[in-house]
Amino acid sequence: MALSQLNALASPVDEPQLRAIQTALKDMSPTQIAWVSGYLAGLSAVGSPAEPRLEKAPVETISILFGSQTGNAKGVAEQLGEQALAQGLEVRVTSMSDYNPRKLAKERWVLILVSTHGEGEPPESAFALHTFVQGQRAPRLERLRYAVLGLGDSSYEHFCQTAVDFDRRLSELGAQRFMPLQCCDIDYQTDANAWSGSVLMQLAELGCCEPTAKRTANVVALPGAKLTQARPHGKEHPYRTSLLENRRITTEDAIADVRHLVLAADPQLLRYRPGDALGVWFQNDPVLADAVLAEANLDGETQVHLEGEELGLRQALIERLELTQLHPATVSGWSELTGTAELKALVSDPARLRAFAGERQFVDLLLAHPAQLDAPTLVGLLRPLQPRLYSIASSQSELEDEVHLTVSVLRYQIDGRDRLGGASGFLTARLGLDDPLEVYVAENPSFRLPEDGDTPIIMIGAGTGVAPYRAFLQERAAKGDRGANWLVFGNRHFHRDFLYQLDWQAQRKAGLLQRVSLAFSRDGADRIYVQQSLREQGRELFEWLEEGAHLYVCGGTAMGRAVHEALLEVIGTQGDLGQDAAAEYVDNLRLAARYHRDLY
Amino acid sequence: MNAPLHENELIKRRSHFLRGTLKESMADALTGAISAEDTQISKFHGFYQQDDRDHRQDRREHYLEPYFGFMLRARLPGGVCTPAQWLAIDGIGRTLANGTLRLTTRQSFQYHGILKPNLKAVIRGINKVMIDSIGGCGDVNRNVLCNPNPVESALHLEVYEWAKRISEHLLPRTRAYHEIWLDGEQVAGGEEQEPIYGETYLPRKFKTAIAVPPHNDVDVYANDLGFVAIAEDGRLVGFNVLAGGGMGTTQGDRSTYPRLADELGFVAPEQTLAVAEAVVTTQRDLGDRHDRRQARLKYTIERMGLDAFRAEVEGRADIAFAPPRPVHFTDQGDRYGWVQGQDGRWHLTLYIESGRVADRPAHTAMTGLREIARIHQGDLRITPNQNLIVAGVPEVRKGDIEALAREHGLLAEGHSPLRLQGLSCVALPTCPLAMAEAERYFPQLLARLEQLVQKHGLADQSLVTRMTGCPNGCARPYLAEVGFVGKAPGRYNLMLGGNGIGTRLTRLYRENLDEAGILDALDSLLGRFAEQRRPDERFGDFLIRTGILRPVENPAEDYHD
Repeated sequence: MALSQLNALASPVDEPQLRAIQTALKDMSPTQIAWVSGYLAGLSAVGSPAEPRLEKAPVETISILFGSQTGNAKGVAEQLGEQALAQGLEVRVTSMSDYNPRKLAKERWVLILVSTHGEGEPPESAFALHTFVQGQRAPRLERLRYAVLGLGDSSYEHFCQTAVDFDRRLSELGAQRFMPLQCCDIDYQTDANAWSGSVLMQLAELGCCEPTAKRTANVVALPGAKLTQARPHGKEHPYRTSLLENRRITTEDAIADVRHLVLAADPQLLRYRPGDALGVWFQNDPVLADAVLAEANLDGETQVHLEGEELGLRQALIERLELTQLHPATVSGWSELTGTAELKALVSDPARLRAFAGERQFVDLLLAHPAQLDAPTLVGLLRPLQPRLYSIASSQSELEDEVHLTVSVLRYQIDGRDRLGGASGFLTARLGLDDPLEVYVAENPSFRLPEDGDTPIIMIGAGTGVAPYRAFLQERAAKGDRGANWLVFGNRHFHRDFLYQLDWQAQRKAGLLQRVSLAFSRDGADRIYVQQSLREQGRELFEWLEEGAHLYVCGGTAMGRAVHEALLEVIGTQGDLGQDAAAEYVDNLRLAARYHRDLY
Repeated sequence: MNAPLHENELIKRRSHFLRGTLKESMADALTGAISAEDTQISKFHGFYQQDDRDHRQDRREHYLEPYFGFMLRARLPGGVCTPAQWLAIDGIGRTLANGTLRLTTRQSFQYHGILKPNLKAVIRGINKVMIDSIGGCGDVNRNVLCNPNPVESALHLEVYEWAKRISEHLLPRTRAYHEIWLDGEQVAGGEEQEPIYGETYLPRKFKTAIAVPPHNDVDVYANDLGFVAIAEDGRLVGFNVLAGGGMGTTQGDRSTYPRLADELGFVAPEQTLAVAEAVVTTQRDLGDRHDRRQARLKYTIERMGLDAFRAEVEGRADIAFAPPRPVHFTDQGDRYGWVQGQDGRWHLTLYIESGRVADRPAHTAMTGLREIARIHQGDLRITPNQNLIVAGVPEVRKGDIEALAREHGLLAEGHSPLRLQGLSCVALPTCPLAMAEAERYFPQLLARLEQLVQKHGLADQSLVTRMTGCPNGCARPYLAEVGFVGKAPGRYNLMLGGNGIGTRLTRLYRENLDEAGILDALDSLLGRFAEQRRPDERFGDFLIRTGILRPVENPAEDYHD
């Protein structure tokens, strides 16, 4: 049952009790709620309220701090916390965004799990802690012993940069590293599991916090606290849904083919909040798999081993291996196999290698540089298939049993051949109505509406980056929030790709959208982008910020950078601030969690 | 009458002399449209909100609003413009509208598909060459028609000057147009006055035309106010004044009908403006402001009676009408090709199919007219039949002009008389009133009709054929010999019985015909016509003489019989 459906008439609790429960649960994530439900189940089994766990936290508590954007670091942190708990260790799993940086000096054991985005940038939730630690006034941390796990994508230049930063800087501040830095690539699970195992062993060996009898008893008394029983759907445990609608929302003559997709969501099983993303497990195009098989001259029925499982090569290519996002490591591996001078030169130049891989699929590599190989080698070269994340464009307050996505169909040409994006092609071209697919909610705690519904918000989005704002407005409408809303949207053509134009018009008519600024880059001789629009309206932008508005930016990384520069400029001009002061103003916005970014 | 005023009357009153909320509507970037009330006010500024009806449904499915564009019609009395003006008009059409121009049956040009952000640039653009769009549409006097008579050069000039004077005299006085589009100074509240119109303007549109007999190309009887020039020895001596003509009807409403204007009497030239103003103010005060379907002057006159109306006008103008002079009309079409004027200069009437100036494969009218305008030193005249006259060409330039016209497919040669006398309105996809195709379909239907007249040996027969996509009558189908009035997609009412000189109304012959039905009906009638006609007898006259069709004598009473 959804929380909003709880009422005193239908349950044994009275109104005040109900309100207390609702208040307590209001901002919890599905994972947290699941944990609490287990905890409460444990309580009811024991038959009497447990001692409130308010006793002073032991000195030896281990802080697991995660900085997560798409939920991966958070997932690893929670799993690690669960294992530690099972071992009877005293742990606290905290998002960096909820962590007071000054507490670091008092900590004894800290595990940091953090991802890296764009060009070596920390996730929004890690920004404050990262800034604090990097800063000149960071305290000495002689007492602290730590280990860092980084999540990243090695096809980017600054692989796991944020983790590298933390690892180096903590050491500089006098803290003692008890495990070497572990950087994990997009297929992080195996490495992360291994690291978690090692960390727990090391902690035991180092004599950190021997479990007491009482705590052990507590754990036993709280079987529900183990996430395994009420485990919500997640990346490795996806939710099976089906496609209800696939609607093009750009005109036929638009450059981008953008689809509005509606997926079914049982509100009992799939809960999400505005700002969250949906992870989509997709299958590669069988035609593409066959092309790879044909080029490599391999039989699709050949049995191969993948993570201890045996399956046909063709099935592995379709369901388990990455074919559309070519990884530089795959190119390097291929270079060793084929050994052409051209490829070797390419591989020796990391920038060129990244550019090459960035605009090709695996089959293009095969076609350009044919080589003989056997099935196990092919499987070894390819990376495991990873789900893709899409910002959710709907709110469950408005439509409880649907998830809406805004998907741009990735179509491009390589050497004159048409190529289709893996997930977008799956979702928009290969998946039929009512066909099943597997998804999970990737929480995005750093991209949330302000708690206070009266707070004004400025929503800046380009292209499909406008998707979460549709969810925001639906949510605010459903809740009756009275804060002013300002949408800043950019795309190519007013008439061709004004995504969800009728929705925005309806929201304005309903009195919800107070201000709309638009930038269509190809409509006039001058290319206008959202950042220009912000500069033109600098006075209003600054006024809104001064009135406490939250700022949201969603879209491509380059757009995020341009908006950031415009923001600095506007604040400098309007607030009559120098460069440093303007930068501090923006940093303060971030520290106050009023500047939210979701860039990809 | 206690019926409530029509909503449009309230909108006009609220608009503060035609300002409405146009400025706010223009600034609203979330939509390509203007507010609903402003769509009424914008007409007085010369533009209509339209949308691409071909894509209305699929855009809604894409969560996009309709493809809004604006149709802007200029005020161009008598259809005369200079080559320099033409070049500006052409450039604006290519860059700020949908890439084409449309010559209208009221001697103006209109742009289609202007996007909201470009409206101001369009108006400023034509203003730079001294053209405006004030009263291009709306409940005021519209563009004044004037026979573009190229032969009687001196007389044309005299008559044309009156067309301009009437247009200027009946122009709204509000500064709203200048204020909104040309960034003119704002007028402080209360200072503004509309001495002729008042704050609610006219109950409905008002059309004025001047004919120069024997040509009735302006269809003078189709106008609210008509002037028939009376000349003696090539000099203008006065006008026969007509009032109460109008084409529009409403489907299914038997209280509406097309009507020919009545003769009020003869006036001297210097009485022209006073009479025009008196007719307008009479309609202003006595026209129906409750029911827009009954608001045209033709119904006012029917209600008042002609004598009472004439007396009212005489009283207001402080004149007495003399008995009308006898006039004789011979045609309602254009005279294609070269004619020489009395001043020795030459005039070339070009054929522009459905008035659409565009560049299409093997038919580059837009480029051709631009090339001509670049070397031409006389003027250009848009005809009431949607064609264009290159007027005032000295003998030595004839060859160059003709070569360009031929190169770009602008000459009438090679087209059948049937096609050359055809008229069609714009209709789909832009006109919001259209119920059926007109401009896009008419050429195909004409091709079938050409086969039909050929079959009956009537290929050289003059036959005025006109098509509109709705019953409002922009292409004046009720004065054609063969009229098609759109009723539903692919369906037309077949109207017959006009006399080819625009002085007799058509009557409904068959309702709701598809193409096969149209061809079938005409095949049989043309067959009988070919067999039984008298020498020089026209098709409409034949139908009436043989009793196939009863003529409309008093449309208020017998039109729907």
